[in-house]
Amino acid sequence: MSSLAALLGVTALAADLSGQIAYVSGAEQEDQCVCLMDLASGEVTRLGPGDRDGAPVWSPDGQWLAFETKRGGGMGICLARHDGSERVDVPHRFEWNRRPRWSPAGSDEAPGGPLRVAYASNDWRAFAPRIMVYDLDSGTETQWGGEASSLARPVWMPNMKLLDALQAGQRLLWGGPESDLTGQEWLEGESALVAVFFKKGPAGLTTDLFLLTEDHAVGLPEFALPSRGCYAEWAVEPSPDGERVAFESNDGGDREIFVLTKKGSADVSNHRAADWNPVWSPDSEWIAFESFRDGRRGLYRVYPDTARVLPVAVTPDADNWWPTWSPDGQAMAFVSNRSGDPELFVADLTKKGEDGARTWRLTEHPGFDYAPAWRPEVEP
Amino acid sequence: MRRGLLAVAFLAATAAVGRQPDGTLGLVRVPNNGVPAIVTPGGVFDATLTARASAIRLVSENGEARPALTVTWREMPGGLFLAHCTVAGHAPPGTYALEADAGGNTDRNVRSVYVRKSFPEYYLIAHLTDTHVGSERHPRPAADIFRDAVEVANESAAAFALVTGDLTEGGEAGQFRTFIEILDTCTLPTFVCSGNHDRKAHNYEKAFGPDTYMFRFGEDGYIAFDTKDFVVADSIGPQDADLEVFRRAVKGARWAIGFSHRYEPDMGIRCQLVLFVDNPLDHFIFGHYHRAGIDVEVPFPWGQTPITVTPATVDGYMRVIDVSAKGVGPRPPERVAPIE
Repeated sequence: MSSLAALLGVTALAADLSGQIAYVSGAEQEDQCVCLMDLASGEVTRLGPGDRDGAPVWSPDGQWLAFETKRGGGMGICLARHDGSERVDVPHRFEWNRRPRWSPAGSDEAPGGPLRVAYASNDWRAFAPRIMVYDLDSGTETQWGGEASSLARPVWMPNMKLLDALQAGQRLLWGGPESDLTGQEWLEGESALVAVFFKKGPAGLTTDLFLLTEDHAVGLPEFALPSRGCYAEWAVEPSPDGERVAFESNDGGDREIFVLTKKGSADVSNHRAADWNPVWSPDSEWIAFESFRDGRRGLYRVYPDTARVLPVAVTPDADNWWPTWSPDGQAMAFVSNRSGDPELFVADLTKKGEDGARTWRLTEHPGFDYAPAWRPEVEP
Repeated sequence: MRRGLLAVAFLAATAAVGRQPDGTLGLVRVPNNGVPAIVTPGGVFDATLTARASAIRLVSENGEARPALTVTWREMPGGLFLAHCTVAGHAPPGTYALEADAGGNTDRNVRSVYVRKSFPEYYLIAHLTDTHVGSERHPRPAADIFRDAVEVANESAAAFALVTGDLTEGGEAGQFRTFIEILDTCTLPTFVCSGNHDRKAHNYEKAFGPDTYMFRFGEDGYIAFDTKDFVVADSIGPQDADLEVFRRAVKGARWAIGFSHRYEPDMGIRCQLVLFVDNPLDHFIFGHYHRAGIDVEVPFPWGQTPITVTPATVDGYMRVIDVSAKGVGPRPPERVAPIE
């Protein structure tokens, strides 16, 4: 174990773990830093500037990390190479920039496409965040969704399969009944984002799911949502194969995980306790999520085709959250405060443990370790 | 014999230490004088300790009353111990210190447990905020202004006081010690939470324990939460889950009331979904803005939770809030202390 690893409190690892996990570590917000842990050796490398670094996300090719970090009086998006050889501070039009997500460029679905990062951007004078896209090749920041604002948490659709299927069934009214915009015009863009729109209604603010291209932003049609009514959606996540979209909604009285397919939306986590934060497995077969069904916040996974739910990490007096799947889908890293401070753990989904899967502790550190992101498999 | 017992009691009281010499909490984390327990005789409260105590007891302010506690222990994550305490049915109403013995030492948290005869249907809250102890923004020291405001709160007939963050100017340990010294002149139970000015080296947590907590006052439920910085309030950390658990715990309350230091629309959205959308709080009390009227000028965006924003105590203000079966009714803020 390196001296840095010892300093950061990385514990002995399970012998059969491999790969790398990026995460945030620090005792104070002012020293929270994005770090990279090699699971085989336990070696830890600091990659971020280390001042309020936020949750890291991997580019699809595993070469870059994107995360928010303090910049001036706000937050900026930082892009860092996995080996620490290069860091890009994205130039921003607005001061507050949050929750970056990579485009599917470099994946099988979009080989050779531009590598881009989408994020929410706000000028702080009023709460009206726009969705911005930074192109790493050209070094330019562009607003997406036309002039639409009050949008947050953007995620790229991996491909246009679901939108094509919905369009083929003529189930999408692009731009609403008054619009002369056709689905075909949308799809010419070949890439789209899905994001959350903050909608002002007579009873106050609520949220809707929106689809965005560079020039347009439209709400998902009613058929795509669980039911008619004023419900608040959040945490939208397309499956890696692009054929389904998971999201959460308080439709039904409490927060549930829903999955949108070309046939519409279905509740896959149905329980009277809150269910949050869906995360797809790499093969698009399972969804990890957080739930309070056993008291405190626990980690579960659901097979959405049958709504079969299995516990992953559940502890009676502590929380387990922020799951990230291993590239082979056989393990999951997550955060737990079962030992006091939030630390990183790994669950082996192939082995049964006391309250779900068998788990190992990854870090042991007097400060906090959280927001793990398992590096995608890298082509040799 | 009786004299001998009194002498033993006096010796036990004098051997007990309060907070650590640097003002931080010791063996007993919660309850304390910023996060007290309010119970009726026969009622229950939870205490969090850093070790399993060999003895734990209530001691009245004058040391004469020592009502028995029945305690069950549970080990908690992080090496903490939870003592589930049941107060004796004959416990006289009053203000108590919670004392605990471990490792040959006695720890004593003054003003940490209040025994009431009953919980009223109608009561008052004294709301102080932004005391900024250590600030030199006015000719008068902020500590003196806070001391005056506490005197007015003592005369207000309020059931308890909320002090909603920016307790100190710079989060320094010495500023917290001064804040606590003045807080202890308050004759009401005092509930505090942290503000953006209190963020330094976890000094707030060392002085008062967790930022996020809940308590019941009769039929009403209160949730304190941390909005001192957006990264903390966002979904990366543990607070969201605490809020969901606390919000569910007070779901059956007559009124579910939140209090915090500040509110900004783009602070952690998960926190807002829990408190203002999925199970909207019945009222939300905060400070931070230092000026009067902002709660009237700026409607709360989520629509279902009325807000009360009180101007800063360091500027000489406090506010009394009525709580009754009709709802939560803030009175206009009062100027209670000169600033020059």
